[in-house]
Parts: sequence; C-alpha cells; structure tokens
Amino acid sequence: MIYSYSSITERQTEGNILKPFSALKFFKENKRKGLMTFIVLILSICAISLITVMINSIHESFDVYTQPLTKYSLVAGSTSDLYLNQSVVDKLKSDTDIERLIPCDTDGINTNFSIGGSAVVGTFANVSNLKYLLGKFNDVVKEGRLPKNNTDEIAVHQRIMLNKNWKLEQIVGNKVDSKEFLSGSYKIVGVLDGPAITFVGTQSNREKQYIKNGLDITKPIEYAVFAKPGKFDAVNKTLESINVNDATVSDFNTIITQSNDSFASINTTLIGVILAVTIILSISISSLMYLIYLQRSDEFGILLAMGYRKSFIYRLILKEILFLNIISWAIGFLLAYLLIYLLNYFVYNPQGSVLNFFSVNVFENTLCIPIVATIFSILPILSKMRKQDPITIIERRD
Amino acid sequence: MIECKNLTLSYKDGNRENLVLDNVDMQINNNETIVLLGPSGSGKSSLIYLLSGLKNPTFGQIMYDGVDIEKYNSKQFSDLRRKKFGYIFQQHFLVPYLKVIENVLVGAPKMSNTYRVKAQQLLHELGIDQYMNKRIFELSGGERQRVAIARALISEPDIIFADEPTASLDHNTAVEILKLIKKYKESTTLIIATHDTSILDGNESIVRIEHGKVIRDNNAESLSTLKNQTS
Repeated sequence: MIYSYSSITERQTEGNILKPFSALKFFKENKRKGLMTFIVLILSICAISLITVMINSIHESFDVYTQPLTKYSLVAGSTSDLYLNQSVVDKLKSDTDIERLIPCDTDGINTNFSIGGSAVVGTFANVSNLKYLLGKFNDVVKEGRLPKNNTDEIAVHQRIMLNKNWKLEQIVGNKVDSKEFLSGSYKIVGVLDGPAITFVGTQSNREKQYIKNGLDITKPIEYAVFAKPGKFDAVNKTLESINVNDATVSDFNTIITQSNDSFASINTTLIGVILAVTIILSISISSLMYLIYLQRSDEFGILLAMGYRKSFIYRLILKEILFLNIISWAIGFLLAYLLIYLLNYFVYNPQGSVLNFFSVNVFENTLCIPIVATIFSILPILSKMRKQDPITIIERRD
Repeated sequence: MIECKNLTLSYKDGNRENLVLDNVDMQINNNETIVLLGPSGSGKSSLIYLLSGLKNPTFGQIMYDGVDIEKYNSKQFSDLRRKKFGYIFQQHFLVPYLKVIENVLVGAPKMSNTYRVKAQQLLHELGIDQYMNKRIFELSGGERQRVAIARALISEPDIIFADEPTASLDHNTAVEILKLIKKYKESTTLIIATHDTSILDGNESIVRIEHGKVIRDNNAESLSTLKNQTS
C-alpha cells in the first residue's frame, strides 16, 4: 500500500486513543446511560453493607454479653422454686471437675449496644470471690476500687459506663431510674476494663434485701460454677444434665441454643432481603443494560461486518458490564464504610459500642449483587447478539 | 485476485424461490477498479456481500488468491476480512461515542502507535485531520464518509468493497468522495456498487448486473451509453 508519508502531521491527539474499545470507554463517554445503573448499584451495595453490619453488630453484642459465660456457668433455682434443690447442691459440691463454687446472685443492666438493646449480666458475691471471678474474666479495676462487703456499691465495665453515660460515684438502679433493670440503688465505686463486659457487687448487701423481702438466705439461691482447667465442657455437660425442675442452668451452650432460633430468623431475614434486593436489582439493571446495548446494535453490527469476531464483542460487553459493576461495588462499599465510620463516631462510640465493618459476610453479601447483576445483564444481551446479522443493519435505510 | 464461480444466491419467500444472483462467474484482478452498475434490487449489494464474505452463497465458489474461502477456519476468515478487506457502506456506521481518530483506528488490525500515525496521515490526506479529536456528530455527511474511508484504508487492505458509498451524499460531495476512494487504486482493488452513473469518470471497469446476471464491459463507451440511457 502506498501512502504519501511525506505529509505526516504529528498532530498530538488528546487522551488514550489507542484503545477505542477499552472496558470503560463507552460508559465514560456516555455517562448518562450508565448513571442510573451506577447509582442504583451503589445505593443497593451501600444498603446491603449497612444491613449486614447492623446484623453483625447484634451477633457481636451477643458475643460480648455471653463472654463471661465462656469462663463460668450459673446454676439457680428452678422457675417453680427460688431456692436451689439440695441434691443439685450436693452434686455440684462432689464434682471433682469443678474448681470453685461461688454462692452468688445475678442481676442485669439494660444497655443499647445494638439494635433493640440487651441486658448485661453482673454478679454479686463476696469481695474475695469477686477478685477470683474478675481474674478468671481477665478484667481489671481500671479506676476506683472494688465494692466493699455489706455496701450498696458496684464496679461497672467502662463500656457499660460509656453506653449508660454513667460517672464514677453516681447512684444507679431502678430505685433512682424506674427504666433500669438493676434492682435497688447502688453507688458506682469502680470502673472495670477487660474482655468481659460485666459488673460486680457484693452479695451480703443483696442478702439484706432478700431478708427484707422475707426470703430464707440460709438456703442457696444461685452458684457461679468455675471448672478446673480443661474441664469446662465436662462441667457444662454435667450441668446440662440437671433436671429443669431442679435448677435453671445458664451456660454458654444453653444460651447459644436458646438464641439460635432468634438468630436463625434474623439470618433468614437477612438472606431474604439480600436475595430480594439482588433479584429485583439484577432484573432492573439487566433491563437498563439491554436497552443500552440494543441501541448499540449498529456499532456491533458494523464491527462484525468489518471482520471482528463475535467473541471479541462478547468479551467487550462482558468487560464493560463487569467493570461498571465492580466500580459501583467499590464505591458503594466505600460509601458504606464512610457511613459506618460516621455512625461509629457520632452514635456507637459515644455509647461504648462499635460497628465492625470488616467482616467476610459484608464482602459476600455485597459481592453477590454485582455478580448476579452481571450475569442477568449479560445473558439476554449475548442471546440477542448471537442472532445479530450485520447485513440487516447495513441494509437498513433510515 | 478474487474470483467467483457459479455464484448463486437465492432465498425462499413462502413457497417461491427468489433468485438474487444467478450463476455469476467473475474474476477481478489485483489493483483493478470494478464498478457494479445496476438498478436497485438487481443484486449489486448481494454480490458485494458474497465476495466480501459477509454472506454465504446458496451455491458456488469464491476464491481469494486461488484459495477457496470455504477452506478458511473462523479465525483465518476473520483475519482475512479484517486485514485484507476494507468496507465502505452507504451509511458511515461510525461509532458515535468515539473521536474521529478512534473511529479510524477501529479499522486497524491492532492498536499501536504505527497505526495511530497512519490514522493521522490518512485523515490528513483526506483533508479532515483538523477534526481528529472531534466527535462524529460534529461532522457533516461528507466528512463522516471520509472518516469511514480512512477506517477502511487503515489496514492497507488488498480489496476495498464499497456499497453505494455516495448514495447518501449530494452530487458534488459524491464525486469528490469517489475520487478520494480511487486515489488508492494503485495499490488496492476497488469493487464499488452504485446505481449512479453520473459520478463515474470512465476509467473504471463496468460490470452491469441485471436480474442477478452479470454482464461485464471493459470500456468507457459502454459507460457513456449507460449515461445516455439514464439521463
């Protein structure tokens, strides 16, 4: 081929001109066409991320609340009898797998760490046992001191303090705030820190209340059961074998079993929401994409006429849709991260709580949207493209 | 060289068999300029489609440089059409969201700086290098067709198939466009289908197509006869 190369003009062209069919070219040059898909995807991915993180926070809160139960188990009187059955007490005392049995009483503080709120369990026992208990929990007194025997004092974990906006020396309980779970009134004398979010008080003072209410405090009401090292599961197995008419056992397994049903329904709802969003979204995006690519029939027809292979065009369409979805996913994900950061900063952290954004299921739940949307989009377009005849396009006179 | 033997194209319309091309035998030598002349529906475009591999014949053989194109596999055939053939259609079919130079590069067998420079040269030779970075909608009909010509030429094809390349243009632009296409005839075989004799200058080999049959003339006299007939 002879061209007159003498007249070359080295006019510089703007931008990257060597890739007219790069994956982002079409949507970059036709921002309006991809905009709707882009926005819908970003918002959906952001919404799914937020829902997943919120539900994760319920799971995490549950883990936090049940953390003490990974160190000890509680055995209390049955629902029909406040006092513990003597045979149960004897059984526990004779169990060689048990390191220590602490006579105690438990109560709760209502918190709002997660959606719906929950109660944190606290233990009332004598001071020497409280020291042992906190040692087992790996919790320490960060500020102030432990409650003294025969006082209306409690030491509270710093995250509960933050969540309730309590201060050291403050008097708390349902006597000062009727909405509070904790019965009675107590002065906060210490702030705890450590993995177990809990609170502690002295039992003797609670006993006074029981006597006042006409209860026989010589009879055992509740025990905190600590297993010897390596015997935690064996002890829990023994506790779970106790007849429900004889005692109420609260151990980690029991709590997990009890909560499994509610978590199962939460998880099913989450999956349902994700499925519904994914399917509705994928169908909508697929329709939008189909329209966009239908408008590009001439372009693809002429490429086929010029000798481009169908596989090239399929790859181009796949790349374009995939890139749009991936970019939308990344932006949606970042937006969700930003929102979680703001929620943590303004709402959760001041309550002593935190929404954890980075978990595998946030990736999984959001990734299924671009994947399914790509598949839903690509299939009808490719099916249409398969039947594409360039002659029909060339011969069209319009 | 491209040749065809017993080339037949027909399609069924209900129970009726419509014959578009009837046993066409033809040989087109390298660097030859062939004008397929005939009224609308005579089979000019169909012959172009068959020769360029856009359509399969009902019957017959097409040979490119002595090789039956049926013998090419899908990739070889695609390569043949992208590298050896250039296409210009009645409508420009340029990609609207690409710049002028990018549209020219669509016709290149691969994307490289060599082809970028070549695209710039072609646009310069066709007198539209000032529009290199413009979008298609900013160009006139004639300018768009020039871009389509540059796109067809960038791969330095052995054969250019031009199907009614001037039909959507006014007479003066049509003459000018045809001149531009013919500018490359020294190194390229040109096969042009048209029904407009007024744009021809008599230097072409004329092939008349009537009712799917081909009548080949080799002189300018037949063109003047044709021109007289149509005027």
